Amino acid sequence: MKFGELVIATGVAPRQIRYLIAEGFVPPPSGGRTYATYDQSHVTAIARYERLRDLGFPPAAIRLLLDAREGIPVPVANGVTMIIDPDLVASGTDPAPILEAFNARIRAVLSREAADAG
Amino acid sequence: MLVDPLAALFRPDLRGETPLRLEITRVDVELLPPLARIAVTRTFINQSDAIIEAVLTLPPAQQDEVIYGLTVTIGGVVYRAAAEPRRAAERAHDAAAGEGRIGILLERLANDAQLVSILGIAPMTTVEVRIESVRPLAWPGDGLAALVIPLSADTRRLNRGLLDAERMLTTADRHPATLTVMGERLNVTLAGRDGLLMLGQSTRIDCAAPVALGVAAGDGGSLNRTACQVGEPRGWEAAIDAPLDCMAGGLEPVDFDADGLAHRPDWIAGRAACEGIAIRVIASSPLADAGELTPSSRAMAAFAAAHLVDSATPVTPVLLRRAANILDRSISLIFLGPEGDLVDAMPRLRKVALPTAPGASAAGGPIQPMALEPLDIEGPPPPKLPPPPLKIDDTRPPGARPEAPPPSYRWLRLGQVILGWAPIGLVVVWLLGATVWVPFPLMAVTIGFFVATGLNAVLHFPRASAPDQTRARRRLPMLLAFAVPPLASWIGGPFGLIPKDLSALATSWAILFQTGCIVTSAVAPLALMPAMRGGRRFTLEIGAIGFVLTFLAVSVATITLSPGD
Repeated sequence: MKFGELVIATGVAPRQIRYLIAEGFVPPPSGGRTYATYDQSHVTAIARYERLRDLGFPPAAIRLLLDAREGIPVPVANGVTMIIDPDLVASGTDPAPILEAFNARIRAVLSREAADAG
Repeated sequence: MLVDPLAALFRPDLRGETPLRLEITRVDVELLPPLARIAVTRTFINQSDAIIEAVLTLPPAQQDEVIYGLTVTIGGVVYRAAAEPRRAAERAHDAAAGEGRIGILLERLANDAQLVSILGIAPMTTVEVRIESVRPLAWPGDGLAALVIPLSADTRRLNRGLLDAERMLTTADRHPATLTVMGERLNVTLAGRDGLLMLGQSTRIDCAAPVALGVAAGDGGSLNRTACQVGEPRGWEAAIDAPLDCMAGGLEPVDFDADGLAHRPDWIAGRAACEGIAIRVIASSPLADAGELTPSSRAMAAFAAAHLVDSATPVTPVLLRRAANILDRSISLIFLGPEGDLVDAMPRLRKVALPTAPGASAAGGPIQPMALEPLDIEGPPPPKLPPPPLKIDDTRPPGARPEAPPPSYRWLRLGQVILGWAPIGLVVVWLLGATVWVPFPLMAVTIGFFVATGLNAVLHFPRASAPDQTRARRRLPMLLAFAVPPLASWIGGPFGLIPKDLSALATSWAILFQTGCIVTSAVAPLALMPAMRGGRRFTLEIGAIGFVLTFLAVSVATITLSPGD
């Protein structure tokens, strides 16, 4: 897609996208300036950045989290913080199976009794 | 292995791309009581090895300040920006970034901060950004006037609600800064300095602290009025009119007979209510053909246009503000260079940092542990910021995070697509009807083609005020060339000047001429494409109409001239 289509697809201002590309949060387009082409990976990268900004991460922290690939810490409740793979942020992944697994794990962890093996 | 999820946030190398730093700041003030003309020139160098787009966020304009000039010098070449509607300017500037053009843009952001974007700065090039404004002096009392010019701002407050690309960056680094104050018969002091300032001489100042001037009338001077040949063309006058509480009925038109303006067709008058006083300005209209205005004349014209109350000739305030180059939320200042100035590389956006204001936090300072404060899991979810303004004249409070995408109106876009393809479809139908002798209503199809193409032409008329579309509009008379081939075919055909009973040789020449007409009508739109940038689709539609008209004329002529059975 062209730059204008990327702007429409993400709803992000053109200058902000240029900033994200310059800062390395979004990969540069293929094809140089004249034939600059963008694809779904650019849309995903922009959506991920904007979601992390909405969560309160400053740009420098987002850079480090994405570079280090140590996971995005998101507090859930007192004493519980989720660590999410950056690739999952704003990816549109169905949360239902994750919630199911999370539910089982958190019950197992918090229960006073040991979970049955198997 | 246990992983501390917050460990990454405490690393020392959290900073991103290093912002560019200012090399020099120069503040020029011309005191014209009760107003002051201010020009702040900031200089930086593209120290990187890439072509960049430099973005510089500046402090908001002050109370009643009128910003009317952006001049950028890139590598010794001077570019001056002109007023354009904000959205159009923004779109044109964004397009220029992708087209490798040099461009400069000054716009007022939602929170009144100013943003300068400069496209196409080559490596190691020096850039000077000069912003001119005019504003009233403040009146603290005791016969004194004051003027405070901020050179930086508190980023904690300023950056609230701004996009990352628009946020002001500051640095603790200091750079040389100078102040030059001009004025006549005035005593001027600078905060933090003993004694009077030497008017007209350059003085070193702190590049981060606000410039705070105190002004008092000197021997024979006045703080109430300054004038320059007010009765003559391009002359002006700025004066304190009256205390507001003495003005019956508010801001009334001024009696200009006393100023000797009756014979001047170019004057405009403005009156502004500032801090309990009324300031009246008479100046030359920026629309009048009065030649090049002096710097002070331009400043007065801008102030008068911004607070217009009367004019020698009828004029709309909006037109006057545009002509005076006044920046506001709906008007930006922009200049775009020609296409293809730069190499085939996207300019890399780099921020330019201002010095950290005293007492303010530096955005680029040590990173504090962030601890995900916005996620208050005990309390209510964080409030959503208001959506960005959808109209250029929307004056909702700041808070614009990412812009909402425009409404899609799919049915409308579908209609446009159908309309766009309709002429081609009708041509196919016409050709089928004309050549295969399928019984189509040829006349109706022909009329349908002209109507559909005409509607397409109206739809794609270059009506925006972007520079390339403005240029295309100026070149519209060139499209009259499309009328030449059909007219030539008709006039040079058997129904024009050429008799029907020609010799065989003359007939073959006449048919050759008709062929030339149709080839010309086909080539003409393509030949005009480079000159009609910004209106190419419109040119194509008009060219298609010209081609079909020529085709019809040539067909009739050729059939008539061809020897029958």
